[in-house]
Amino acid sequence: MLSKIIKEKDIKNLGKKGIPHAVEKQQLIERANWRTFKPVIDYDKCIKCGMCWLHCPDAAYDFNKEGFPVCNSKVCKGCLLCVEVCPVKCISVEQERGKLHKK
Amino acid sequence: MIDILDGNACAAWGARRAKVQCVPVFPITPTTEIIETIAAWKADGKFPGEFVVLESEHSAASACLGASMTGARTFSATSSQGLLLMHEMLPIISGCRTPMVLTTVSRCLSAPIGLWPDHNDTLAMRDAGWIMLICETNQEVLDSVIMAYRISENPKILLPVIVNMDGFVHSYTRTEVDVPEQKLVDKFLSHPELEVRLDVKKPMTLGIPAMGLDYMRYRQQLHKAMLDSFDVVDNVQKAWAKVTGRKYEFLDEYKTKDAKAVIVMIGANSTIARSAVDKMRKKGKKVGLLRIRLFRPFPEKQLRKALEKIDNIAVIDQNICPGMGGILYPEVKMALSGCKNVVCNYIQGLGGNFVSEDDYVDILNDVLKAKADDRKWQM
Repeated sequence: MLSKIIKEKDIKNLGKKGIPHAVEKQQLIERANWRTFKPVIDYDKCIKCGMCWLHCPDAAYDFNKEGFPVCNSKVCKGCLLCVEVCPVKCISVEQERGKLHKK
Repeated sequence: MIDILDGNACAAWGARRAKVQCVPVFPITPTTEIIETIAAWKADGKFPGEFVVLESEHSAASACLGASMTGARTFSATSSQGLLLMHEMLPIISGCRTPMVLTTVSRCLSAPIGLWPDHNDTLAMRDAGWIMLICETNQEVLDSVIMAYRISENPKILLPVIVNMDGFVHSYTRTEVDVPEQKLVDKFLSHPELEVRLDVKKPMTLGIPAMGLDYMRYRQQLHKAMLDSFDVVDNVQKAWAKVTGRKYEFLDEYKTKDAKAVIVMIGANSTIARSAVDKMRKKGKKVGLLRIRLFRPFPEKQLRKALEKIDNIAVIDQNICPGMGGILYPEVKMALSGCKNVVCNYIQGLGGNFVSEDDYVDILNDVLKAKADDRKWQM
């Protein structure tokens, strides 16, 4: 990587941008390749309570038009917290297959 | 209002006059009285802010971060090991650019256990990204707490401030103090709303993860804000002098203009050193004293300008960095790099060991004779 050397006095004040904050929804980071297991939702049992959405540490869950939670498979790193918090146990665990070959 | 107050009461009065909204604390000797004073006011209904006692200093500092993130004016106080337990949170508070004021009452570090003052605890926080004001008198503590809010809440700076006083020497010693009227402080201190703050109605993340060069940019901005704060601190000190007549500077120079030897030091003992300087002056020896009040950001240029033409300099450290020497010494040496002065280091008063006027006379006599840099202990 090419880098350049700047003088201390030439550092610009970025104002508000200098404060480490994010106003938009937290930037989604793709960590699908961390995953060994993935959550699979049984929509017949789901009661749309939103617990999985609330607890997901990576904000991988979103809601579809009918109000059902949908897991973004690119973002989900497979921590399976959603499986633990689901009150009706409608999320099952499935092993990822053929991941090595996909690369 | 003129009153006879000790340093702890001064810090508490500073917080009260600044109309602090949240005080998360955990008591420790010799800070406890600050907390007791505010608690008593709270019980009597004289203190409108929130007063929270947490289960440890780490939690207190975390609560400070949370409170100041929402834009509440936050105050806390601690000492010694308590400050070290807070240390984990301090770079987070400055990194999130949340303004607040922390009064540290210097006390030596364990082990062996000691209750008395030296500066090892506060100076250990010098890299945490906090502005640091180190006081000499009780009056200065009170004034600094009020000024610190105006410095830290400046939209260009947004950095937390440490106001340091010495345990016992300040904290439990009563002196005559002028407590400014509430109206005067209200006029001096506006409470600007933070542009970036936590609000339930406008959700956001503060203290986001930053990878690679982004991390470096945020650190660079922190450094930039620190460097910019020189002007802000200067302006605030001038504004305070206008309203109260009490003038403060980055460097407190005492009879340095024609001096041949000068003591450079921080903290409460400078009062004793001052009278030693007077004693020497009466005997016709040209000596002076320079007390560093603003320790972070370090006023390197001003220090160089003040000391450049002085032949012999004694840097007095009431702290010890084992394996290196005094903490202040290398900073002064760095400011004077390329100059031909003789700069000697004296370690004294660790663990609150009493230092008398004559001890400073000895140091001044010793440094007047010195021909090369040296590191010494006074015991």
